[in-house]
Amino acid sequence: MSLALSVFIADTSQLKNRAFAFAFVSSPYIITVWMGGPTVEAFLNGPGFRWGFGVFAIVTPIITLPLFALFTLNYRKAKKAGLMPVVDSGRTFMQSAKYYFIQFDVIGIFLISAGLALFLLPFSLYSFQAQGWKSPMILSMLVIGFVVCIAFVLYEKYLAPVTFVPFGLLLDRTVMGACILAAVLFVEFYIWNSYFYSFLIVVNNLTITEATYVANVYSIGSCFFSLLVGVFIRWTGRFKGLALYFGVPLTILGCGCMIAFRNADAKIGYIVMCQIFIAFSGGTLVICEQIAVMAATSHQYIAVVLAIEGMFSSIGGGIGSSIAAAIWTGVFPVKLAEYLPADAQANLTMIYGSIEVQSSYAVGSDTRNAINHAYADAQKLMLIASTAVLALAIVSVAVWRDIRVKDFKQVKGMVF
Amino acid sequence: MTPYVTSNFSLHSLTATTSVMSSIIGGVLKLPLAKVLDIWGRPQGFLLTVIFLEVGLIMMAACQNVETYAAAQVFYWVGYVEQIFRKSKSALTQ
Repeated sequence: MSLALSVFIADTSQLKNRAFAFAFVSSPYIITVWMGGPTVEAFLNGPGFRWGFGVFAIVTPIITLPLFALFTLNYRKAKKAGLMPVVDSGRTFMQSAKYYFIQFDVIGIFLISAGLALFLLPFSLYSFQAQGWKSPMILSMLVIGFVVCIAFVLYEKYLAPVTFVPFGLLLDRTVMGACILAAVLFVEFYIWNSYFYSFLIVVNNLTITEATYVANVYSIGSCFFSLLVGVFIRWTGRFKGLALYFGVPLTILGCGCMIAFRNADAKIGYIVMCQIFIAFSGGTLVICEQIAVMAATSHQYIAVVLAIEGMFSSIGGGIGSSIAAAIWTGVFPVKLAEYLPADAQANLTMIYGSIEVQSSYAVGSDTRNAINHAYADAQKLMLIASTAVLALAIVSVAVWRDIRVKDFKQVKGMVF
Repeated sequence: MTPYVTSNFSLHSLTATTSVMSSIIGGVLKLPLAKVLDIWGRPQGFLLTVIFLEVGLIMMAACQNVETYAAAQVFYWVGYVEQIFRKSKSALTQ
């Protein structure tokens, strides 16, 4: 869910209603997911992916410019009415630049972004280097990335005049637990989701539209279920037990089941079943973790803690993608070389490189079976990794305080 | 569409990699960008996010390699998240 809407809702609703209001906002996805699949298929079969992006490049300014005009108009009005006090900081441009450089902790942002990127990218790039892990570029990226990450921690702790993340808020065990849960869930999701769509197209032989529907089971299911969870929290006033005894175990079950069901002769029905488990538990956990960070902090910090939680999930997603790419590039080509029949061995590079080549071989042919087999082997390892990562989720929920959100006075003034 | 874009350059295995940078940079920039846009004022902030979105979309439409596509994702996601933030803020203050 977007940070912005979350903040808006948080400002206008009571805590006990908030879970429901949050869930309600994500409900448009229930409609939009049905349009994605056919649109993508039409573009890929017609003018190609470039126009798929191109059309939106044209549509976006046309839709947003009237809104921009409206904003500008209202902004001028407010200025004229004297509602916007003009504060002259009295600084020159250079002084301002220096001031904001420090206020926004540009050095800290640069260190953490560069550190994480340098450390994570080698995991998907090593197989493209002639010497693999031993190549100087991969080794130096890993080492420098790691050192820069350490430098970030030391810089934020001892040197930075202003830190871009208010680390003080993270000291609360409920906030910390919820943020770690957010990161763990994204790591887990991105590990198995990164090549899931390709799996559906190649192994299950679905069309683009069908594959998009299956991949969207998660969005629809979690949005739908988060509505129920919202009502439940409104009614009972509790969220920790729900996350600990329902959300986390069901995620582990869904993810674990996929280890068994995502094999070379996978039945699509079982895959959808696992997706539904994961979607329902995902809907529960996302709502619970957001309620947790909000219940644990005072109202003025809600926007900030939600943003921090979003940051944890984003970075978790980056880590998950890296793990997925590392497993894929390490396992898939090797297995492909092992399983492919002798007459298809010459096409190995082409098959490895393109989903269109992979899905072009007739279903049931030796080559297609070999490709499916290699897909299943790689997917299996990804799912095992996902399930293992989820062990951290149990701990990160267990440390929450069991806050009751019923009869919890937090909002003064306008109430949902 | 990402698997088809990477396949177009015969680099399907990099499907997951394209989102690594955008996840990290989009995540880290969330807080500071919200602050920057708050200082700049609503219309300017809104325009900036649309420009980010546009740069991302045009780069995706015109990319000649996977690296450009991955870079486009960074612009797109930074713009996307921040634009939604802007919209809610406006609803809040009007």
